[in-house]
Amino acid sequence: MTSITVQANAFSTLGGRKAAGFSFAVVLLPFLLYAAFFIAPVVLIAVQSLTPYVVGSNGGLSDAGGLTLDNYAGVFSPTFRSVFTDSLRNALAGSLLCLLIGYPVAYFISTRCSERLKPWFLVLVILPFWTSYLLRMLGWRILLGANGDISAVLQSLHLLAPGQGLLFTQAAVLLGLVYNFLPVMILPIYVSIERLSREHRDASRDLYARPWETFLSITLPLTYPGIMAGMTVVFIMMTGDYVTPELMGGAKGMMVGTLIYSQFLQGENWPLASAMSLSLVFVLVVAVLAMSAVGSGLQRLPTLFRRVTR
Amino acid sequence: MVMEMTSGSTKSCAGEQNAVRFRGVSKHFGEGAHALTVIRDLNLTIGKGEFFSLLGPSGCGKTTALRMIGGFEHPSEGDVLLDGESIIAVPPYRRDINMVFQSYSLFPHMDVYENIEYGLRRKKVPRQERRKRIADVVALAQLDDYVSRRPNQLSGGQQQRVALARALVNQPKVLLLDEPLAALDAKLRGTMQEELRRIQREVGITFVFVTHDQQEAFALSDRVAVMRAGRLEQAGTPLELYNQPATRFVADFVGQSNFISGPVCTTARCLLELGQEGDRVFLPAEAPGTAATIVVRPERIALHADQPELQGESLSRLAGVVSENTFLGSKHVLRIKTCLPEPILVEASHAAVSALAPEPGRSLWLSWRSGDGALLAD
Repeated sequence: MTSITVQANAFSTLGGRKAAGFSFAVVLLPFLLYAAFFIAPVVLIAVQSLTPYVVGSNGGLSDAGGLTLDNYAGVFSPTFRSVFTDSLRNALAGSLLCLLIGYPVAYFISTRCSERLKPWFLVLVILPFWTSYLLRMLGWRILLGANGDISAVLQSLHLLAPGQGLLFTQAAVLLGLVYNFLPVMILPIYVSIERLSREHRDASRDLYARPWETFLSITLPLTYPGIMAGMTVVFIMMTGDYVTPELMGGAKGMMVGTLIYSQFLQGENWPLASAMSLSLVFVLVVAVLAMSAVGSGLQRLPTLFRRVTR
Repeated sequence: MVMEMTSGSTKSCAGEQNAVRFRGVSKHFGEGAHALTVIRDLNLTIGKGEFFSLLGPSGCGKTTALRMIGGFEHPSEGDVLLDGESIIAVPPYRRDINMVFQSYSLFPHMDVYENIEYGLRRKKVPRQERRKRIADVVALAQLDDYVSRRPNQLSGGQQQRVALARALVNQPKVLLLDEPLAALDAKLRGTMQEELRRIQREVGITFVFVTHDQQEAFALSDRVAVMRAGRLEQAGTPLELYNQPATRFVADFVGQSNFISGPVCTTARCLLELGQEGDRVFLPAEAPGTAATIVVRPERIALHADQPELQGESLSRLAGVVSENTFLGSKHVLRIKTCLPEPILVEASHAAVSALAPEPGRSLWLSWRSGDGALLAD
């Protein structure tokens, strides 16, 4: 009797070990991939950013001895700093525009469409992703060029001088960024509006709130997580984007991604490029933290107001 | 038709008595071949200060009717009146009506105080009065200890009381409650029923309560409307519904019933007549047609060892044999085989049972006062 119990226990422990081993294996593979293709390159870049640049080297990993902070001083030199601030400004303006356009779209799909139509509208939102990114950007270049249809309309309205196009301006860069990342803003907001029950809005209407009061006091605060998710992701993606500024802004639209790209592949100063990359990560972390602080501050304002005027 | 005219001419007077009135209301969802009719030609009057229940199985249209009073659904045909005036064109936020939603729908980003305050702020009630009214309703709903909590820090019963307070604080003309007790466990539900009844008596506001629970509707309501498949089956006090059910559905829905049907024989009041000295079943009133169905409640039937004396047509009697005797604690339920196709259910007290010892197989007589039966319309 006793021995049977012991054996059963032994089996169950063995089973337990097997299960533990399995779950370990499941975690191990992604971890190895992550270590090999993310952590290792980041460490490599970090080391590079502290390595002195050898003038006249043709790029590649610098193997000059000694450690230096010169590269970081280079990053914050006036030329590069203005590109950094331009990038952050473009990304902030772009993500705010995305929010302004994306929220009404998400709201419309979630609250004004029948359940049957919703999936079709969502497909429309992500449809642009189904064609080549480059193709879409080249299309925009034609429309925005000096002879393009959009420029022609603006010229006839005397908003643009004859023969002038929108292409290679900051406005074109912003337009490209918003166009590309709008779906990334719409989807999390859509999900947050979907999760908000219809009954909450009904309850607000029942308690004498006009439609816009219901929106401001109930719908907007309760979809705040979706807004913040969309803002954060879009902001980060926009700051790092280098193809859109290159194609839409040319030399005038240079953003930090373009700068890093050119330092790696044209200037061939890898230590400086590495320092820029890490600085960008740091600046992004600070910017996102600041954004969420401002966001949650804004979110607390109505509560504060209600407390004070209670 | 004449009655319609009369009630129409005295509308302003009647309007004083009626809080809510449905006039020929129908509601269809969808269009064409896919159209679904949820409410058919509903005519219903809810009196001022009444605790009124809409009772019926799920899908009978009771919640849709309630949402129409609140303004969340619009009738496809007909009119809904509040204090004698049509309100179908008035949006919910301009109606002097508040609702307690089935899932309470408290605002999760506001504490209890702010939830209760929400309607008053929208109505721009001045600060001093706001504070006073909230204090009153917090005391009424016994929420003193919870005002600064968020909804997710409250139990189901507490959330329910907050939802009630949030609606009542606005002192609406009508309070709508959509199965507010459905999510609570049985014991808490009993307590909340008593509390609802107490609060309604204290504030005197018209309550319209939706439920599928017959006992709940009867325990709470002054009057109950039974609905089925979008139609009003019968409206009346719980006693009327129980004692004089108009249809087989109502009789069945609001309690145990024995149905006796057949062709009307010899006299207009006689439903069943067997042998010279045998079974006699009389109708409580003259039946309009040649066939009739009556319902007799199990607890209205008396048991006798010997044949009871007939008293004209005021007593009905049947001979039978006990087929089953179930002891339910406070009472016995007997199934008795008679000359009718269905066995008759009888609820009997301990005293009646111990006097007769009705073991299965024992022959005995059943009787009830003919007036205790109810003539059904269908």
